[in-house]
Amino acid sequence: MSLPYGSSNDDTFIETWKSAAGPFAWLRAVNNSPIGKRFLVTGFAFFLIGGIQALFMRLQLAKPENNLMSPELYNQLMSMHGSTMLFLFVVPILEGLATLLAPSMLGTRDLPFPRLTAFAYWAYLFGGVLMYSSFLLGVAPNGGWFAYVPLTGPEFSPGINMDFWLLGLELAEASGIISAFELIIAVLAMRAPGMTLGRIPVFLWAMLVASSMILFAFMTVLIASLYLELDRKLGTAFFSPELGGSTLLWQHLFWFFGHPEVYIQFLPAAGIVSMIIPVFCRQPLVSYTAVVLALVSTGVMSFGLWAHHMFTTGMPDITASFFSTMSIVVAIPTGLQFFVWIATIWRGKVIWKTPMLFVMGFMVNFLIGGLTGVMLGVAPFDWQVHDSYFVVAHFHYVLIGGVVFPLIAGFYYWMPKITGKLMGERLGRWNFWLMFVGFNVAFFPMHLAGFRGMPRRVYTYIEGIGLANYNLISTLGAFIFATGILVFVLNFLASLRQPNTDPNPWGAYSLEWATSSPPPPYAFLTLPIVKGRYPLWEQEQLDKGDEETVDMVKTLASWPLSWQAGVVTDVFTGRLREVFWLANPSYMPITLATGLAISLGAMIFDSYWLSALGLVIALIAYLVWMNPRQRPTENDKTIEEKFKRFGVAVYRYSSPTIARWSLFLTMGIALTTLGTFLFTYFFLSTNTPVWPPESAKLGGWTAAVLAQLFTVSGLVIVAWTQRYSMAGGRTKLIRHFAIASVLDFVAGGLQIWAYSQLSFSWTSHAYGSIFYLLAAFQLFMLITALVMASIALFRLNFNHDPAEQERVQVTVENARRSNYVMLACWLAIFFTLYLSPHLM
Amino acid sequence: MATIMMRVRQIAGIALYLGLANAQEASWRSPVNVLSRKGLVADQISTIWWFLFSTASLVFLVVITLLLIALFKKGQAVPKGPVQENSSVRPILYLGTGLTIIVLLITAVYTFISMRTLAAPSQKPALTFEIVGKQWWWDVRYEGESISANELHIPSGEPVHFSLHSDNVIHSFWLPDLAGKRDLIPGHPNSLWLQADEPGTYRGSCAEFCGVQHGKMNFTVIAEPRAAFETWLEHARAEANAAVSEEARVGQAIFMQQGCAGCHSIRGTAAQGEIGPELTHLSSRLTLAAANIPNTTGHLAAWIVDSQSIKPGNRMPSQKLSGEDLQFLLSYLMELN
Repeated sequence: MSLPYGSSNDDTFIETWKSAAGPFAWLRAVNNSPIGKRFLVTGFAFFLIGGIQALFMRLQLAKPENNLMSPELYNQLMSMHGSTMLFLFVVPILEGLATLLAPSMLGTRDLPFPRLTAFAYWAYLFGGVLMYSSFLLGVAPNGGWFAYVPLTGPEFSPGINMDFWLLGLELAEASGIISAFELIIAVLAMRAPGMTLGRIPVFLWAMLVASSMILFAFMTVLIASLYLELDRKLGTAFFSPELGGSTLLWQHLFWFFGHPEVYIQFLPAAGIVSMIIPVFCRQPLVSYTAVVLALVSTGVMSFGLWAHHMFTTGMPDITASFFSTMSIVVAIPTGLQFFVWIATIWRGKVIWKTPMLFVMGFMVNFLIGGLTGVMLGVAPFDWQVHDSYFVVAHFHYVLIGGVVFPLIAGFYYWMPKITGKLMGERLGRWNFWLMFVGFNVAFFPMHLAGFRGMPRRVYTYIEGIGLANYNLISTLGAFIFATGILVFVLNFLASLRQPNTDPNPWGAYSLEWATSSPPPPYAFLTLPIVKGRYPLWEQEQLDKGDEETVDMVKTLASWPLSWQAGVVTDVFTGRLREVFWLANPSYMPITLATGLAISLGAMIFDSYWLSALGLVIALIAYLVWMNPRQRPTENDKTIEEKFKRFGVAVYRYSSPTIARWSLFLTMGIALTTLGTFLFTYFFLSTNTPVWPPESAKLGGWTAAVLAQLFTVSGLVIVAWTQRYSMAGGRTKLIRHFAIASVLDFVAGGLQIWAYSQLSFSWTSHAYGSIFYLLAAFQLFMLITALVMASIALFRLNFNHDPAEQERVQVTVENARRSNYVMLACWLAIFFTLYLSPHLM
Repeated sequence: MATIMMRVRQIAGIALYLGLANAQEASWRSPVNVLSRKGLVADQISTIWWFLFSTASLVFLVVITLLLIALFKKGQAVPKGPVQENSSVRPILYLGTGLTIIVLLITAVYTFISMRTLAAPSQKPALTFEIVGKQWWWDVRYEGESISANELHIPSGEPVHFSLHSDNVIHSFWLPDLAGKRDLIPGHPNSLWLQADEPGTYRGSCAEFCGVQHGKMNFTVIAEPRAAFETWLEHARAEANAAVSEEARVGQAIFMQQGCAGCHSIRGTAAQGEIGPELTHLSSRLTLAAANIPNTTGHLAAWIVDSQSIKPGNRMPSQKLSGEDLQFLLSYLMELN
């Protein structure tokens, strides 16, 4: 029997790509396929847990004045149901699906940072476990998934419940950011030859947009939870109105995350739908471009409508009108996608398989959720139904109808690429109808309960007010829905006993269907050469193309065999640019995640020495991680020369292009952080009559001004190095970076001295809280720039290996860029803290 | 048979549109309905809803019809070879998107117009009540003084202004029959106006999660003709009656000694506590425990000795009282009318 496309029969190659061996191998496994599967299993487990919590809540609400559980327990379940579904289920499972599928869909071998993939998983798992460990002590988070202050602040939630939530959340969200980071780079820079920007599968376009949104949105919620944790632990006053803080600050930051979060979940789901419909209609999407534009524009617009969650907080009509309009207009691109799907189905011949059934379920349910969404955008109507069961109905139509249905469709569709098996069609139909009927029976009556005055998040309701029937029906529906989920699990388990299926059982078009089911860990030995958006429909053979590309992919299939090689392609044209080394298995990702989990977990119990120990473990793990001992040795001068003639560089270390992308994204994250801090400063200043408070006296002006002069001169000196090449100007480069580092160091000293002259603390007023936080961030950015400069200096001095000069070059560039970003932060912060009070 | 029919209608969701809500039975326990058109603001919002509902139904029907036709008409599979995006079905795309844009723009414009009409009542409200959200009850104030808790009367047929505050966590004031809700936010004073068109009893609740007893934080608003309202207001602002009966006098002493007075105030007596609801005219109110149980002697007794099982986690400890003392205390409280 001939091997499926992309598979190898070379023992060395297979051994190289096999997951780590040995009894504890799973602890050090990296690579997208084992880790992607873990994300899926863990995410689904959290889905089941969150679902069981929902069933208990439904039982409590089944009749009026029910005493099944205490209000405290109900509130804990309600808080954890929301937190689990939003933070531990949907986003991680979508990122996990993309982690697993992206490389094979893109026709390459892995994600850019296999170890980071593993770290993201462990951070997610430990974050979730940390949050859930609160149940063991009976102190689960009880302030809602939205954790509104001041209810969750130190005064009204003195227990440790919310600390579990905040710190677990920080770890889980950090994981989300890291996965997003990897997916962005993978989609932009690691594709099969010939896969131009316009040939990227729609699901990955959606993941690209969602991941970019995650970078901004998750940072704001991380920062908001940092403020809250500081208020709780160090007595800062970010959210204390009596000390110049603001309770609405939390709502702004939370919804600036929270609304994009909805689209972060919905866009990938829409991407799944756009992948499945063409397969089961045997027609291309009627307009790929329209769908991609719709995804991008929804992503952008979603950052401009957060305040529609705050219509009842009392805002000026003009503000409410703006957010109303935005909330209504954002439906246009979604409407566009709907009609693309309908037109595609119109043209095509429908094949009724389970994935298609779930997609149709999605279209009906999501349409209802979308229409009620537009209604909620209309501010006056929202005043009535806001925080009522109407809203509960609405967002379950959006999140279950709009996300879970496509996700289940995706599982049925891609299961051959996950386990190698097809799931049963008969059970699939039962699964669908139980879920579809159960869902509507459970959630439709909630619209009506909302109209009848039932507020959200109530653990019971009194008798005789007309709510009993609606609630009883909802409870019945919830159990029908849960039966559907149970059938899914049974169907999955049954499928595991089936033999592996063909590479392409559905007759699909995208590249993951070219490899075996399940795909080998490396996905493709010979990278496919892509000539269209629907390669498997359009191309008889995937390894045919222009001579040069064929030669390159054939060469790459034969070398290297003993180290994992990934490829970097041009962002626009998909031309091969680099072959580089993908890091091998390591215990460090799990060690780093463990260190961080210990550090955060210890903080809950105010055990700061243990917390510090956790950080030390994390730091050591990080340093070991960054210095892999097993750098590949296999090299072949002739082959490398041959690649070079094609314009492809071979690096037996990480890719310089990816290093540049990483720095770019990291600096994007740093600037988002800066933006959020500055927003906080100015938001608080406009909410307080006297800002800064009269008691707060700024000191150390001279030192602060001098510090700015030093950093600016440092920057000029660093910028000057752009003129020097690596070949001729090495000593000059070293000299410039050394001088600049000294200047920055002095600047840091001066700035710290300036801050030591301040007469106020971070506890006395929100002004002090945000002031010291900005100061800390300023110094953190300085340290980052200094570390980057030191690495550059170290490599310039000691690394003269001709094969690694590109790497040294990138280090120098990145040091220079971090210096620019650092200076931007310094000047912005100096302006804000020292100058802005005199301008307002 | 009639009940079965009613159930069926409720299941189908028709109940709302037929207005089966029994509006006449004016009791604090009666159902409420956002669409009942009993108040000026709620009435206008109902009109908005019916506009939104008809538009949405139309869109739903058009989209689902198109989808069904698309699914069940004869289509064809794309031939092997280079895939071309098919332009013959593009009109569906253009038409659909065009209609989406038009419908949404109309909705946006309609929103502006309706917001303007709802911004302020045409007639300036003559009355302002101050509502302070507590965990988990409502303090009703008039001209700076607490005059009631969890219950207030308003004149019908004229707009009333509320100024909304909280000195603890965020709450939200919601009277579905009369108006939309507005949050009570510490450090961020809010206001709301509403009008009850007809006399009646209206049930409201807290709509923002505010802690363990968010679920039992309700209130009652009684709208009545202006003259009746003025009588109520005058009475509500008056000091408490002096205890008349012997039992009530003993009860009053128990109230002062047992610690009740540490949390509750009764105007005209030494009880000046500010933690719990004021009780000056307690027995004239319809409900207890923030509109969760009726205000009868039996329920009051149960509440005093067992408040923690009626409303677990609330701030009032269950009281340990001898049966005799409880009787005295009840006599006193029942005289506070």
